[in-house]
Amino acid sequence: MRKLFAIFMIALLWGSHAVAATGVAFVHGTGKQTDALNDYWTSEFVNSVRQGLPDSSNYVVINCDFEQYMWDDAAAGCLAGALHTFITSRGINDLVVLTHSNGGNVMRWILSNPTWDSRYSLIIQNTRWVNALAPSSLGTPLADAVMQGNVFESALGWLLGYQNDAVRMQQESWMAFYNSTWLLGTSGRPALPTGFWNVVGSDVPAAIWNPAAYCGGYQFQVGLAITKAWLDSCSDGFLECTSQNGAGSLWFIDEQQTQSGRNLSHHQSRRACHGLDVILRNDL
Amino acid sequence: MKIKSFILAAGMASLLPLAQAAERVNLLPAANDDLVATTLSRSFTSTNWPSRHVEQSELRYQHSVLERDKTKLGGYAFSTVENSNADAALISESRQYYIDATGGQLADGIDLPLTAPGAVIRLSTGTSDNRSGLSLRQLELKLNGNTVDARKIAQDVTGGRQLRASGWRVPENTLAFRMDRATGAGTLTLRYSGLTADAPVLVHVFEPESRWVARLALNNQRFLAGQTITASLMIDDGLRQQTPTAASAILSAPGGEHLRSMHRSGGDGFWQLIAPEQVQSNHQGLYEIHLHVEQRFGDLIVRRDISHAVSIAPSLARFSGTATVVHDRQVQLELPVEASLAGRYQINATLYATDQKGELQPAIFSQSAAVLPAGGGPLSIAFDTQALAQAGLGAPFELRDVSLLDQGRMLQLEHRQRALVIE
Repeated sequence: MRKLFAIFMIALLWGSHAVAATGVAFVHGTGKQTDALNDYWTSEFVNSVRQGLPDSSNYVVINCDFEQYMWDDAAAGCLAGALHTFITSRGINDLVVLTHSNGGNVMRWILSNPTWDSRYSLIIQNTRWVNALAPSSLGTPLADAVMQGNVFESALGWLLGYQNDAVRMQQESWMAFYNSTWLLGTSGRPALPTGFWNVVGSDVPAAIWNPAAYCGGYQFQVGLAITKAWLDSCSDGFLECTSQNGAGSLWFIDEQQTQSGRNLSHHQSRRACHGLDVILRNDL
Repeated sequence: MKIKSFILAAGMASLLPLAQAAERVNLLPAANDDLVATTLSRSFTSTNWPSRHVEQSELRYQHSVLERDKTKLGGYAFSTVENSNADAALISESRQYYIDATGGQLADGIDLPLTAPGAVIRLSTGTSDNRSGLSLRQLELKLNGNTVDARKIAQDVTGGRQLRASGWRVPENTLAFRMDRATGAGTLTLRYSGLTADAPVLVHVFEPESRWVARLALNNQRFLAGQTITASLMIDDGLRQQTPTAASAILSAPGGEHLRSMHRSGGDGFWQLIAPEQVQSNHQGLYEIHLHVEQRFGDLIVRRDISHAVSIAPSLARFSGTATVVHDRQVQLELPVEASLAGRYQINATLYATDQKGELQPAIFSQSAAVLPAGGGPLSIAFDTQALAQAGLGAPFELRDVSLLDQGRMLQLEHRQRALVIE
């Protein structure tokens, strides 16, 4: 029913297109990816989600340098190039974009600044909506904590080598500025031109006796016991729920739709954990 | 509201030639909170601060921001609620501090004041001389002079690789742990052996359960060079609030380098600084205010580091203060821009329309950008108001939340909350 209605909406909005050509793009989070399919998402996740497409070959896994500021040519420019090529080469007119973490900010940059780059408007026109998995829309206190040193000392130059502009940008006061100027979709700001639907991870299954903690790899959960100290009680171990739902609209909080009401840690929201892949598949 | 969201124009087509009905009007007087330059800066050239823009075409874009049903298949909404992010733009809090140490200092032992049990301690080093990673086995702890067993009181012991796997970008050679809540507070003496004497080590102490919070508040988050930045710092435990006596404040540039110290103003916890005019062509991020405080309350020592980002822009361009308005099937505006440097300049604006109750509602967001030469030129934006009638909206209109942005240097140069009334 959801799919039929989506097709109806597409026909309504783009009346000249008799048939919607649906595609899905997987947009990774912070990091410089060259093989995001295997290094960031896993084939299990991507292949499961794309089974929801009428033509399951209409998908693209983005590989860009999201260690840069979101507006950088290596970040938004790279993403725009990949999406533009995907849309034009495969005739996509009904694009669903799946973003994870900081990938949501880079996508939101494109949606918010269509005059930055002439490729952006085509992407906006052909995007049905963005499904933002745990987006860092309001930043995270963990970015603040790792970016700061005792700046009154002089010997911290070595620390700069461990910092990148994407983490710098995700400090909370930085995102507050960008959300109030360059970006749309947060509280009190104009809406984005397309839907931006948040999937919010609200707790971390990290206990060693909890089977849910092992989905996606237990080794990715261990550090969350420490990182949680910086976060509200509602968090996915890396981002507070308020940040994950800080732009666009809430689609669902993990336990509302996952199998057995399980929670999705920040790592698990990019894995085939607790039925997330099936939820995303059915949304196509 | 039943009106559809629409992308009315996104392309290179010029606006319709402004008709004879065009009216030249003045922008509304700037409000106190608006960001408006009184003069243009002449300190820069396109050589010492080139614009990094790539796009050359003039582009315009608009979309409806009328409120719609918040369902997955229905759409999206302009949020008319009070901006809940406003505090985040002006206020920061901290329960943490940092010490920049060396391997030699750690071997001798350093004192860490703790105000509450349950502190999280992180050691990170940039050297790889301890290739197996920092280890709890090398750690010796004393609390208030009494030796405690690190293996017993350190919980959730985690290494850098595990933290990085969780998404936290700490150096790989990191050791983090949480102090057992039963251990108490006071002065923690931390010794770590095995590092070379000159190895740089960051010691990070976070006290999530402490009542003692440092709060930094700014008078604004966006400044033009020459304007006064005012920061206030208070420290409190929920009962007592105190202005720190031992504190220092600096401004750092987007590249991270220290620019200058902030000066204390009076005894009320205020620091002030004139926003500097400085070329930052290699870094497009924000400036940061950093404060460090160490305050003694009897035997208790409260140490905190806190920072906050601010935007500082030289006055490279500004609106001239007038606009040419054509209102026929759509509202078209031409806004002259004065610019001291060539660049690609962007306007963001929201058109508010009057509903049947006579109240203004946000209706259309519009954006345009064009490359302008040194000296400046006009920027044009348009709002297709035809469709608004279906939603019961019409004139008078008001142009709000108007920003002038420099795309090639990532600067916000002007912002007016209310710019124009269009009858």
